Amino acid sequence: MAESSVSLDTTSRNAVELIGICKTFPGGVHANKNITLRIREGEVHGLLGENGAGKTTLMNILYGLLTKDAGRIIIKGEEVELQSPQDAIVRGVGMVHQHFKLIPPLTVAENVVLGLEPILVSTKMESHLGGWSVKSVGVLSQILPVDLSAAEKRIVAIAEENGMNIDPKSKVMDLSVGQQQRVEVIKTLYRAADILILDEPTSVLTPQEVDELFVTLSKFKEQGKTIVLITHKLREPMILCDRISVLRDGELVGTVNREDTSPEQLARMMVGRSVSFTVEKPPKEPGSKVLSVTDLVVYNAQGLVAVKGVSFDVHEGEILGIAGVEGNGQTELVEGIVGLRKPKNGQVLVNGKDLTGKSPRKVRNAGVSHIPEDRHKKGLVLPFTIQENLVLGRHADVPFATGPRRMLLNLQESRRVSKDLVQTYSIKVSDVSSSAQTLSGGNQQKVVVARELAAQPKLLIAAQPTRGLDVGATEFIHQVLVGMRNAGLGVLLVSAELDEIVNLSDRIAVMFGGKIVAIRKPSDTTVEELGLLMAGHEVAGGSDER
Amino acid sequence: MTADESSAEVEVPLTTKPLSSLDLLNAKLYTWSFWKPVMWAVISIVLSLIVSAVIMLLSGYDPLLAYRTLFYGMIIQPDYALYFATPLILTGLSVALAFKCGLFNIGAEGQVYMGSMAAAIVGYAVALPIVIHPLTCLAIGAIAGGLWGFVPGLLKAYRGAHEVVTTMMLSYTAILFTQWLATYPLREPGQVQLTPQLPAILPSAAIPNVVGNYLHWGIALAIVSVFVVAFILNRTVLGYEMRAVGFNRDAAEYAGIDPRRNMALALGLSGALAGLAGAGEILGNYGRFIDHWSPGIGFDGITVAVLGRNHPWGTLLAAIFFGALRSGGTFMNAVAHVPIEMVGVIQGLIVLFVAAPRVNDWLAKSGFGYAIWVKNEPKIAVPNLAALVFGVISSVLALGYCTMKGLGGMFIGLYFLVAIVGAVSFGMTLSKYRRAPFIHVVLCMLWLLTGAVDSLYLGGVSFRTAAVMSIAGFMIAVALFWVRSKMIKEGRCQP
Amino acid sequence: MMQAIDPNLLLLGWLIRSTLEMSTPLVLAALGGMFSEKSGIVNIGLEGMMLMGAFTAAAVSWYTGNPWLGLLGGIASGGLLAVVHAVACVTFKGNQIVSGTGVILFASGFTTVMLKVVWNAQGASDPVTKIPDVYINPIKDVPILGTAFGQMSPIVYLMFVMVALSYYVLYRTPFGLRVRASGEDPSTLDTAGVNVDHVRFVAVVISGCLAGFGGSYLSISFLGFFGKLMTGGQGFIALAALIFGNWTPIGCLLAGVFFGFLNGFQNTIQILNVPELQLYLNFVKMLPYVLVVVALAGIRKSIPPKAVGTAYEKEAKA
Repeated sequence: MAESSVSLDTTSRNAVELIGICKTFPGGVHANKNITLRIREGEVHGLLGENGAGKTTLMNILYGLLTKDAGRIIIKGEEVELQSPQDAIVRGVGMVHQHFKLIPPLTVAENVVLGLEPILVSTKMESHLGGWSVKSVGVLSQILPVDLSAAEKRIVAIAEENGMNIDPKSKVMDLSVGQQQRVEVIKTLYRAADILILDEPTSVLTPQEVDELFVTLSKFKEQGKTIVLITHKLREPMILCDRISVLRDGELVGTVNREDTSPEQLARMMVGRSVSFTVEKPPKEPGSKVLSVTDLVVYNAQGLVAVKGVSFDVHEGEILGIAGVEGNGQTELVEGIVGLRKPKNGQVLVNGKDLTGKSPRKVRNAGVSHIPEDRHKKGLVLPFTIQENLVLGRHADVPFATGPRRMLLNLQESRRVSKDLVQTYSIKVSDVSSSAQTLSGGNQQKVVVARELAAQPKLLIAAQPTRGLDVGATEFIHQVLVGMRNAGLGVLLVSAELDEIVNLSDRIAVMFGGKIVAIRKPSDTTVEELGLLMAGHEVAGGSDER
Repeated sequence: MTADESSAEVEVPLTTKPLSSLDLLNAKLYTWSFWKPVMWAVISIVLSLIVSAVIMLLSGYDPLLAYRTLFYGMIIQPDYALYFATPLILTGLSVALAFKCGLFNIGAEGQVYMGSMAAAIVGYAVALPIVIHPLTCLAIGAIAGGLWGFVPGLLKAYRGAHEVVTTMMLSYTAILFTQWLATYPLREPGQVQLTPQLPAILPSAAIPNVVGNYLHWGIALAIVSVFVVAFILNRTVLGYEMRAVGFNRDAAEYAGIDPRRNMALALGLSGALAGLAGAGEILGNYGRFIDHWSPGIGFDGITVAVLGRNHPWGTLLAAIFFGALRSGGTFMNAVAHVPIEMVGVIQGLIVLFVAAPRVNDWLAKSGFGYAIWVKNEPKIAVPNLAALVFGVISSVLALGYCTMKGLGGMFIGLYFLVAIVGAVSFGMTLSKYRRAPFIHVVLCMLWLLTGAVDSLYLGGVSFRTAAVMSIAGFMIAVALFWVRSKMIKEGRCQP
Repeated sequence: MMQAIDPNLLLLGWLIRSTLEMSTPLVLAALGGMFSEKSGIVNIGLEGMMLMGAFTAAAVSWYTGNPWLGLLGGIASGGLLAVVHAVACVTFKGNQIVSGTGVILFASGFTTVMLKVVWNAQGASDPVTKIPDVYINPIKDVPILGTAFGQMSPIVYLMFVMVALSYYVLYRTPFGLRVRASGEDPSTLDTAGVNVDHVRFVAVVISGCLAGFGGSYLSISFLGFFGKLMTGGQGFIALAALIFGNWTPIGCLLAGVFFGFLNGFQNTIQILNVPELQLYLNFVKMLPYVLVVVALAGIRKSIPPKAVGTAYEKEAKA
């Protein structure tokens, strides 16, 4: 008989114990490998790791959103078997997800009470009947009226208590990102959570909003709440956390006290070696202009101005890096250049040819290749075979199309070329006619890169090219990018990873609020300055290299 | 040839000689991903035949006799089966082609009507030499159907109007419109029949029969269409682009493919195939346009495409299967007197089973998991196993009583309820649903109730059975709850 | 005919009555479709569920002689067919449109077979006991009102109650909130600790019950018998009303009544028996279908629930 053997001293100190957690996804990805993690009551615990290290998976398991394959979960000394988030919520666990779990057309109050709706009858009756509660009517409570006004009052009270300001009646779609995050935090507080998990909470916030969030979090700490902060940035845990655990490739590297560590040590733990991402990059004199963008204005899917008059050039043999916090118009800028989104104003010239608002096919034919930021959504047709994916975009051109008016596919040729590309880029596949779904993330990205470079472009636009890749694949992609630059291509690199930008770029443009706020040479600037620029701070002095 | 040999053959000659499509096909035939859907289609057919047998039992028909005549009828008249299959192949292709581009052409029926009307008009109003005349009619029919599919295609591509809704709505519009044409402007002069119809097509426009009284040369047209559609999908740039759009619209757009153009074209082509089906039927079979002539071939096209996995060759096989089912159905109707609509029931059930392929996975997984459970923890699993068996026996027994002659409607209803609850209890126990014991108790109580009702109103036809069943059931229930409380105590089950 | 009333007034009253009668099944089924689609499950099987409801209601009423039991049976059978749909697309994450098609095919075949089994009839059943109409005697002789409301099926009034009830359930109760959330973003609902599959399952079953309700009205209140394929595409018009009504209860009511009016208008024209008008009857019949196509083409903006049509997979890696 399996008796839960929890010794008493740990129960008094640990809010959460995760013991030997394993998780493998249906696709075969080992997200968590035997992770044992103890989070003490009342501490701020940093969970640090690169993209894809398994942080979010681990916390989703603690929150009951994913099921574990093996291991034990002990919350406040009680061993639990979490079937759904409900089981975690009733034990005081709350989670703020990176991609907010909010429903835009519903109001703040409706979003907050979802799943824990106060019933009008019960709130009214409870005062009369004392012990009478919603539970006694069971399922019936589902069709009793919701007491939204009571919920709204409580939401305002919670918000004020924690120094936040929110209108519970407004619809979530009308709120800013920062406000939406506040709604998420209120959601957990409404459920009386005292173990708070925050997944990359700062990645979408402006610096002011980050400061506000940190103030709120320190308030929570004073109240004795336990906080788990998931992040891949080094700065944040060093400011806020008491202890920091580092994950790498689904394994726990170690847990350290903040006082005993340094950002350098954390970085080492995170990547498995000391960080020297510098890629060998011979100096190169940039050639003539390949891409010239003037006063580009692009609207986003919601019809708001996302790119507000951006101008820059990319020359042959240079990498222009666009740095910036995500959501500052980089996505729309790239889409505006490659023809996926029609610019409202401005001009895009590639090799002197006007491509403003032309179709993606025309832009491709002008010698522009594009590694999209989301390879699953844009870069690959996953059910297609690798062979079919490797000719995507060139399928209608010679030699892949033959016959009258190039209407027929030349399967032999595309198979031959695919075999070559698979070899050249060492893509690990069993056969080129197996579907792209069967590949790992790194190999999928290699397929995209191989295909885009095989088109022999004059300009390469790479958007977040290493997102979600392991260190090895990242390095490979970096080498390819630099190699292309050395071969005389113009490269436009858009990345949210500042290190990547600094290490690879010949010039760095910083985007904030839909504008390019500065263009710097890496030698003339510091990471600190770039960070400030990315956060929208005006920096005195410094010359633009336009 | 074994699987190993064939795959080796595929791998080696790559660099030396180009692969023929036959080699690729051969390699594909040995993959699990190819066989799994085929197997599942067959299992779906079997499952739906079983459920249909239950329905026949309940309706007082003899399923054994029915199936014997059905299968016999399916085999003895291949020409009759192909006659039914001819339009189904085309409408099935129509639905499948649109589906490959990620579109659901649910209104093929309307395109069939537009195509048939256009062909019928050209068939009687224009005099042309033989061979040329039917070909012209077919072409015009395809164009008319194509246009009727192109409209929702355009609306989908450029206005985002969902094609499931628009094609369906336009389908009804087309039926009403052709009805109006047949009733007023184009009605056969001096016609006395109640059903509005157009004048008969000229003899020069008719498609001759291949053999016998039914099968016309439209079948050749249909089979050629299968080749053409397969070729378009797999060997042309257009097909490649359509499939890319169907799988991932964003990626297709990123790769320079115009998704709008492809979607509009796909629905247009899909409509053309449906129009061709309608035109072929008018020229080869009906000889004129008659209001509401189609026995739902457009709607059946969905069934065919679904069973054929939206694959051109699969569609061909599925259409022939359904055609045979139809022809067998007529035979079954004549001999076993089971209504021909029973075929529709079978068809609907097949679609339902194919719609949810995971039923298969679930059955396999649960069954396997259960076996392991019984082996590892017999003490806990055996009462559950008893409940499982009890559910099945209840279901079968109750169904048996349902078919007994001379029982009142209410009694049949009660037993039907028992049968259903029995089946639910079986399913829940199999999937180890934590509230399964409660359903089991409900089942026992139902038995008790039937027993009581029986003894009070019917003089105890099934009283003894009901009593035995409820007693046995309650004994199992006691064991179940004992086990359950044990499991809750161990924390392995939620209360 | 009673005494000499102005025939135009009589006609107007008749039109109102006919409109209400014709719209009742449409509104009920559209409300059903709304619950399902608001929860994220497309239900094109409404037609089949209506047919099933119509048949069962007639059969139960025929066996028991009690039309109210028939109504219950009709509602239950619609719900039972919806359970099949829900098992296929909620539990087993099947394709919702394929499953809906299967439901329609099954119901068409099954009810026709059963028509033969129960009544040994090909086209129409024997007359069954109807739900008695409600008479409002005081207004019997008032010119327009008398014809319009003097004698009416209680289900017409129930239909309005159902609209109000649906509004209440959808916008004022926890269940409604969850249904709306599940159709917009099921993963959020899951994160909030609610079982998405349960919510969707119940919503689909409610959908079938309402469609069965609408079908029952046709057989045991409007006509008094069951006819082969008697719904004749009304399930699809209900779907159209649902879209036209922008997935809201009030919208369903208005669109349903409008489409009902078109049907009532046809009936009135047929009564008038003017050949010139008859000529264009088919175009009046086409109007609901064409209007929906036009509406979807962007004349009016209709916003479907965001996650409608997609199965929710819990374990998919984000």
